[in-house]
Amino acid sequence: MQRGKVTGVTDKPSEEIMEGYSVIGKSVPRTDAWDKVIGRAVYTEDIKLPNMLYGKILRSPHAHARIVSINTEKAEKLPGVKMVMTGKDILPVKYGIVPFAQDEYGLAIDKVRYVGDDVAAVAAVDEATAAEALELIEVVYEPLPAVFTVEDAMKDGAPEIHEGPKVKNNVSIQYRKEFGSIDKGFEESFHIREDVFKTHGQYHAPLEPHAAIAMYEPSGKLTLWSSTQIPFFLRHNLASTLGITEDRVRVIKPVVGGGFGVKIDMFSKDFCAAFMSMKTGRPVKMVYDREEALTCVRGRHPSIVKVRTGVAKDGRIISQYIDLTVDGGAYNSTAPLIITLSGYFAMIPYNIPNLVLDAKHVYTNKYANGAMRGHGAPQMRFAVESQMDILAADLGMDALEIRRINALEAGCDHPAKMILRSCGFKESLDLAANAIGWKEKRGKGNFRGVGLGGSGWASGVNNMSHIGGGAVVKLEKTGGVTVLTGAADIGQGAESVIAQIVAEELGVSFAKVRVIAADTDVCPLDSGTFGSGVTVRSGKAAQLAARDIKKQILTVVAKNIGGDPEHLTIKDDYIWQNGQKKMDINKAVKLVQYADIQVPMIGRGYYQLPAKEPTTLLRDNGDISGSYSFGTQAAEVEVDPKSGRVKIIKIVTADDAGRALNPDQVEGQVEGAVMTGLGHTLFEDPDFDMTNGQARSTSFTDYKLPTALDAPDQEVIHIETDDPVGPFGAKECGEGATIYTAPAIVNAITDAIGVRINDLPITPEKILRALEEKNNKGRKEA
Amino acid sequence: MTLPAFEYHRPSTLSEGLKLLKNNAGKTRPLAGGTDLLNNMKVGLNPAEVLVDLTGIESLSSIECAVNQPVKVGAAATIWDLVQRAEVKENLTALYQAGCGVGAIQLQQMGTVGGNLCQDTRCWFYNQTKHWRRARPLCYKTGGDQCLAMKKSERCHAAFCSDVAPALIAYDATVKLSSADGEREISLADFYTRDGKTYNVLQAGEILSEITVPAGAWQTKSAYVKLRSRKSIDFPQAGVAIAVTEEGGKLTGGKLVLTALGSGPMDIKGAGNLFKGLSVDSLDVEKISSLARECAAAAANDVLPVANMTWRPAYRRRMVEILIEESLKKIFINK
Repeated sequence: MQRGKVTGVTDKPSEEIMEGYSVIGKSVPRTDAWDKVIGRAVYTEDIKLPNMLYGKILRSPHAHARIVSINTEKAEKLPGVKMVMTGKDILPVKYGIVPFAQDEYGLAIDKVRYVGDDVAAVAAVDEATAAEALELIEVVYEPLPAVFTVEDAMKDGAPEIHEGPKVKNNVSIQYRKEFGSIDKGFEESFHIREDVFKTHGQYHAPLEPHAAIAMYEPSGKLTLWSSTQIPFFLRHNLASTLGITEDRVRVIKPVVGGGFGVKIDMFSKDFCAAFMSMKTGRPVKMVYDREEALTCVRGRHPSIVKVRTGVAKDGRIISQYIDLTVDGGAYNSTAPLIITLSGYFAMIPYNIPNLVLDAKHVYTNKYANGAMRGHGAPQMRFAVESQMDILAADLGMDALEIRRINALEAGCDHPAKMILRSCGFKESLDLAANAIGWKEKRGKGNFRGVGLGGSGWASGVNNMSHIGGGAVVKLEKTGGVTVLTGAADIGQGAESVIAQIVAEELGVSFAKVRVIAADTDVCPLDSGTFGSGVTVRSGKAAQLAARDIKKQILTVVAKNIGGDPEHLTIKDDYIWQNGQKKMDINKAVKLVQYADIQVPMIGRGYYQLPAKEPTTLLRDNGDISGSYSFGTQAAEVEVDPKSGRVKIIKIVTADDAGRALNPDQVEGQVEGAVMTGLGHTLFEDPDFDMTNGQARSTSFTDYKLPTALDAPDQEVIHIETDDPVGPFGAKECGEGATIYTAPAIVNAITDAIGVRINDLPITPEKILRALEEKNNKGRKEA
Repeated sequence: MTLPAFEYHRPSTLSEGLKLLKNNAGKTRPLAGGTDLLNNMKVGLNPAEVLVDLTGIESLSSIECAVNQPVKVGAAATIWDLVQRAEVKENLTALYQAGCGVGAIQLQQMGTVGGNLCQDTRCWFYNQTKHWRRARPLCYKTGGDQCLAMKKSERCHAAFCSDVAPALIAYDATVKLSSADGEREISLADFYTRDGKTYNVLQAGEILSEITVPAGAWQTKSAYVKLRSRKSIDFPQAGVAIAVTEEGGKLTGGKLVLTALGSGPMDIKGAGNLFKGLSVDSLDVEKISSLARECAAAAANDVLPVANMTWRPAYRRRMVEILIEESLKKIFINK
């Protein structure tokens, strides 16, 4: 990894600070690395409890139908079957991510809305019996007309997917964001252009499929082990839908094999496992098969983005109107958030003085979409970053230059009052462009090209239910440090980073820190893994907790050795005073214990991103996050005009993720994010059959996740800014770099072939068609 | 997804195995590498109550391979073991390239040559879970009376997706079919029916036991090129094997065999004449392009892709010429 220069608001040069760090900024091996490598890590599927039952879900074969009747008699009589449940058995309590947009039941009641909707569940002594029982459930459906595109869904007279006064023409959520005056802005513009861009769906495809085990005890306590990204949120949804109080539910997150957003929601496997455990008194395990884990959970929202932009002669953006329509599928899930986030990342990373954004979330009879790495921003950035290149070409400008002219900077007066405390965007543009060889390679044609794409992303999203991150740090006199955190490590390395933060702040070696995480009965409240907020939110909480206990120790030590506790510090397992080693940490801890202070030896920390109240999201101006990452990708591609195949030669990411707490992990996140973006652009497609809304890619054979052999050469340039909000200056790095991969690649393809494709995915067929159209046009003009 | 329950046998002699297959006819399937069969069984396809594992039969795993001699390959020899032999790698290029193109290394090491030749045909309406298929009517292949990919067609259009078969057919390979009642030897080209449902000529209780590549194959120059979405894992969405013979600087004949463009491998009959008499030295990039165009035209009637996999039929059809061109370049230019 190459290091770029330091920017941001601190005036201390980074090197000086870094010199003082013992653990931060070092690529220490992750705490879970060894267990994962040797196969000892315990995932939900690995857990077996005595007397455990196995559950399975019966799913709808219809895209849209009324459930007339369900006969479970035969299934119940099958030997080994302990329980069959349907929507009739459950409380009619809806759940969902955002309280005002809740529209889902634990199992379908009366109606199914996509092929795969959850209709009934079975618990049996083994998996095979449960599967056999599903075959014996008789469901009578009354099929209803269904719609599979947002255009069809919004037509007058289209079938109503969710009845109710709030939903008209299947538009479930609608927002308008406005600042400045776009009319005036367009009047003042030298050049105006409107383009329409389309993006398709994508699966998250974590290797670990969704799983849950519920165990209900006669005391009335329900424990759920679940592959979840947000244990506390799952506890909340589970309690409300089961009709019990949250204190009776304990959610434990075992090791999770990837999430990318698809393990944020509660799913029927959680609800039904819990429900059936409560009824049968036996533990119930449910594991989704690969098809379910791809097509019956959540995906990335397909979108249509219309962008009208007015620019000055010199390329400055004056006015922008964006009309965004996202295909939500059958349920809301994160509906208000996807369009909000999409909107926020229309306001970053360029200065847009006048903007109107009209955003709609539309129901269709396909599986529901939800949060996915970048959550709304990749759709928006694909559109806007594509149009930046178009505008540059219209104005006869360089595509790098038009971006530089419009780039936001730290401390700027943002037109929507977002606060950019640190911003390495401009640097990222130059560094990425240089690294790809922009000057030499851009505009040379001959089926080779380079392209740019840029964006920012939130380090955690604020405004959410007043749930921050909490941490407790405990010390043992034998030297161990235990951190209790609510943060949910889903494979991104959150626990390791938290251990690094605590080790650094407390001045102890990394190996001494043990993290106990994501158990709602044991760990403090935390808002979980979403919006790329874990390092900043939970990491900061852990830092504050470590600082708290450090203060307690140093107070006692100061009393013992004399002097001001303010002049003491802990570093590398020793107490230091005026540059002198005074005693080792174990001795200090013992001193604290023997001081007989009447409080337990724990440090406490809680951190909530500065939030504007009440929750207004898009409508008002203001911030959505405490800090923002920024970055630019540059892609170099080669196109084979005969086959239409695209070869990605190289992708450079210049990324401002604040201070890299663990550089290897940052690099890993960025490279993985690039693969997610590249997969979406060129390979992956759920491939909906428009006759019944069914996704045809249902396995890793047919769903074309790029393989290691398809991965291009990558270079990651880290621009270290020292952000004042995050712990040790860190910002997010998990999602940002996936947001601008598509435009970087598509802009490079356009540079290579001289014609632009505005809808994803870029398939060889589309490239051949585009080349043919270009040639035909050329012939006509000649 | 779990495998359904089945009875499992692992005989150590061929006669014992063939007897098991005969006695359980109608409810049994032979198992070799399992890379095709077990995946299908997990999603409720290829039902079998009894599996007869052939990998315990030593004679079925043998490979006799010496330059200028006929190559004899036991059906249960792994793809990896066959194609990684130095002789194959150096001389039987199409076979080597086809073998390396199968799935990924793990699949080549588990999968067998016989299994690859006998693999089930594929279709996105077929290779799905039971639950997925329930959303649609049954098709020919699952016991119904229609093809979901080609409405109104009278046959199943599932695609034959072996990489290895076209290469072997290009060498005029033959196969031995064995049953408890005897054995027969037929050309590999005749082993296939071009019907997606009953895609080969195996009778109940009969297995493909041995593959023979005639000695003439050592004198060929050959190549295999497949169209795939990714550089690994994928089945072919179109594939081309070419093997030509040469004498004194002139081509004396050749074969062009296509795969994944219909329900069986297609041995393009007119191709041999297009190659015959061409001077090898004259085959520059330009000449190869026009030869590829002629070959593709000769193949046009045999290219029958339908909309049953990732890339659409028109694109796969269009790519035939490009793949032929690439194969010819591999043979005559890149070498």
